[in-house]
Amino acid sequence: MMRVCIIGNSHVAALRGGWGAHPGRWPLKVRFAAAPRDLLTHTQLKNGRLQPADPATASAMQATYGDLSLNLDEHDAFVIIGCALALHAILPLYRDAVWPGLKGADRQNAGDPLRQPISAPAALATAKAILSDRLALRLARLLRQGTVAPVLVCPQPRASDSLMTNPRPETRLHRKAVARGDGAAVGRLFEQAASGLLDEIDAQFLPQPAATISRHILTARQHFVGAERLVGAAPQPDDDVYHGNAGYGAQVLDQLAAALTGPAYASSSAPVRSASKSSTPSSPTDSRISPGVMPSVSF
Amino acid sequence: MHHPYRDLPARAFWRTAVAGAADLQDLYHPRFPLTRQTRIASFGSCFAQHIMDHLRRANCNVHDCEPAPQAMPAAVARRFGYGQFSARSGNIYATRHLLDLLADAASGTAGPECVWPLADRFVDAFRPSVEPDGLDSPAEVILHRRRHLTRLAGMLRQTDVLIFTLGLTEVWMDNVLDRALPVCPGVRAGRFDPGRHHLVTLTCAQVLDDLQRIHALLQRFRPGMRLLLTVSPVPLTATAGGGHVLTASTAAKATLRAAIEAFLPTPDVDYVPSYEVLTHPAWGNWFAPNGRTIRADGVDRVMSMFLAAHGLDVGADETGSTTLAPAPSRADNCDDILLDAFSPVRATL
Repeated sequence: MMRVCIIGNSHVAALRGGWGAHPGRWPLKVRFAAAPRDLLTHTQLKNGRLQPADPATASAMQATYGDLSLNLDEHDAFVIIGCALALHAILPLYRDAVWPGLKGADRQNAGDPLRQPISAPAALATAKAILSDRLALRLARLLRQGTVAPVLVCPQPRASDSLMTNPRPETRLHRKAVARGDGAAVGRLFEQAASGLLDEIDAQFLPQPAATISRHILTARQHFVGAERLVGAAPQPDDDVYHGNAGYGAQVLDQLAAALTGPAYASSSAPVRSASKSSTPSSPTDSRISPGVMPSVSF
Repeated sequence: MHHPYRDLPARAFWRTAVAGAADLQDLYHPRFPLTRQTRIASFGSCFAQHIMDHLRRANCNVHDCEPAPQAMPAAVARRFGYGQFSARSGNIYATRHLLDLLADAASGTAGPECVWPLADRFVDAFRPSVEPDGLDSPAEVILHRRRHLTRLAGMLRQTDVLIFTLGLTEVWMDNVLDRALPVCPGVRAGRFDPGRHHLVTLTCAQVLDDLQRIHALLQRFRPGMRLLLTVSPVPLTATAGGGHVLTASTAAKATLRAAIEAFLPTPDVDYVPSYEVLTHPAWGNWFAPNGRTIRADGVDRVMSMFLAAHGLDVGADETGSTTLAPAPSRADNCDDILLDAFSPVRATL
């Protein structure tokens, strides 16, 4: 049975909840390793082990994984969840620009003098540059340096569609995109950018389960009800719009299991998805997570 | 005995002005002032990108009528031609090219003639470098060009000084359109048609005529707009004129320099001698080992001279800033460097 390590921040709680709620549903052996917010930034690869580089991360690793470091050889696949890989990260580009596929892209003033038309390649390059610094991508690159095993990356869920009826200032752009009918194009850009970045390091992007998505850039609100926290028994607050619940986690695990047991991965220990790329870890010794930007996201 | 040389200032003599001169302070005397309120636009060859950078760092009021979207990181913006010049024009190496662009901006028209194919995509034939991966359709190219021209025209109506760095005299022309092209078709995009595209090496008289027409067009946008000219010290990457690239390069620079000299009596026109500062051996070798690229300290030297002459140098900052950060090291984004790829022996420098 494939031994899978699921790594991430607070969004790991959804998968852990789903795993606990459905014992035996997936033909996988799973261990979780998580630390809240951006604590996994303080992680390094040393002698084939993923190790925390500060006490807070060590404490979180011990609490969730049961060990102070993670031996890469003990896992056949790695799954990163959340870690700031979020659709809302590219919304500032939507605020400033229009690209083919968006409403108004065929007009010189883009229907809004504050937004300028840009090309599809420019939009994609921008989205990739924005997402490239996200912890999920940095962590994936670090893992790729130490292992040839499959590395899959799941985004955090799109924000809850409850914000359409209970607006928040920080979700203004979500509402604008939905109102203009631009959700599909924004969603496509996000997935294309994330997928492209991960392809470059021979890792795989696992998009948010389609059944959970609402209006292309949101998540149906029922997937947030009763969401667990990573630490502590109290659930996420009722008005949380970012953290999926165990039901959401189960759907991600369905997708994950299908990917890992499907034809893309011929054996449990060697990726064949991108056969043309090197399957040799780029650095077997010591590496740290590259510097990046951690956006402010409420947990 | 009295003669005209007796009372000349030190700057008129090689021994005192060049051979024995410790610095460049007497080389450039602006004919008109620039202040931090002066609204400046800058276009031209690769070297003009450095001028933009330095003016910005000196807190000058440099126009950018097509800035990158705020969310676009700097490296991406640069790749897509944002922020290098005052509009997203790409390199403008020749006077004829600038003249055509200004005429387009004045008319505001853009049609299918501006579309070049790039594999299965499309680019603006008159600025192909700004979309290295091309646009989805000819209609999108025209849309972007119209916006470019609209923004450019609007900016020119509010420009006090236009800085233009002249680079080349070899220009590829489209016979059908009677227009200058920024690069030879087929190099970056488009298709070369020997029956349609031909090389023109502008003469001194033609450059002078172009400059006069440019000046006249600028006055249409904003009466009183001043024109500040420089000549790029960067030699040609390649010549299609049949001769040696070094002699072609020397001829080009000489032609441009002579045309400017003839144009200088025009009111509200000035010349910044960056070419002289960076190419004469008396003041050092400012070229990189490839003998073509200007080193960052060479650019700093010219721009320090220029800014100091206008009181815009370090210590003169009205905002209270006392230091000018060193220029960031970066590769120039130049169309003509693409020609190097066609050299029989690839350069390693």
